[in-house]
Amino acid sequence: MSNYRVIFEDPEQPEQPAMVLVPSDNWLEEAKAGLLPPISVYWALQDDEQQAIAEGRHDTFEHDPAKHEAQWTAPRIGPLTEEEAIEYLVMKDIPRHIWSQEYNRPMFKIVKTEDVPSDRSFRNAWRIAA
Amino acid sequence: MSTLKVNTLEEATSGGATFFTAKAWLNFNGTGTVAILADGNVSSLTDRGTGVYTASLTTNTSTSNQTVSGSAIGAANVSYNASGVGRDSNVTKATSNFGMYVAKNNGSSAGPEFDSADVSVVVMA
Repeated sequence: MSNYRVIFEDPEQPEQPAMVLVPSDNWLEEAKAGLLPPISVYWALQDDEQQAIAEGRHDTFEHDPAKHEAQWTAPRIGPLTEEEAIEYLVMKDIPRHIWSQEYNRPMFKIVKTEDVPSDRSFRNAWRIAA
Repeated sequence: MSTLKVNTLEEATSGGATFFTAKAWLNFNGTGTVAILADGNVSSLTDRGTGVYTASLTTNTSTSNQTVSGSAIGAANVSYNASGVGRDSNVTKATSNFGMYVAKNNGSSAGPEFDSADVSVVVMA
């Protein structure tokens, strides 16, 4: 099991509580084994879909086949450490505006798993500590 | 490890039906510190609050029109002793992830969202 979790908030949804990203162990094994494509492959897919949303054709949207197949055909990036894999996961699974822009306080933190509260009382009031 | 690549799987009998395979599956514990128990083609699970989650896929589906189906172990509650997993309309459909909520159910109507100790979801696309 991963030693890390990523806690983040979405500045575009201020009422939303802090969210906690849990890495998949299977995915982490793939990352450590060097089986991941460059992160740009996923960003190209995100851009492809965002364009469809902007053009009002998302209901019938299908990815450009070449961009979709790049998930398998792109050269692999090589083995990552667990820390590098978590950074990759932030850029893959957390919305881009959260980690690519500067805000007046941190919007995400990579923490040790044991630092995440196991008591879920008041879960919907969680915020990232200053 | 070897990989079998085919475009279509069909029954061997004449006029047989096409087999459809799941694009992802996930089993997790939504109580305490949320933990993935088992998965296929899932890169991460995001705990977004009580009973609401987003699962991200290792390999995106080709379309955002996925079918997401799930179940969850119910809460020990006389009024709501069953539970259900639904697609979360607060999360925009995407080829890279899907949002879901786990709600209590009394057999005729959905109750409040809650944290289940055992949630299972499968994705077809």
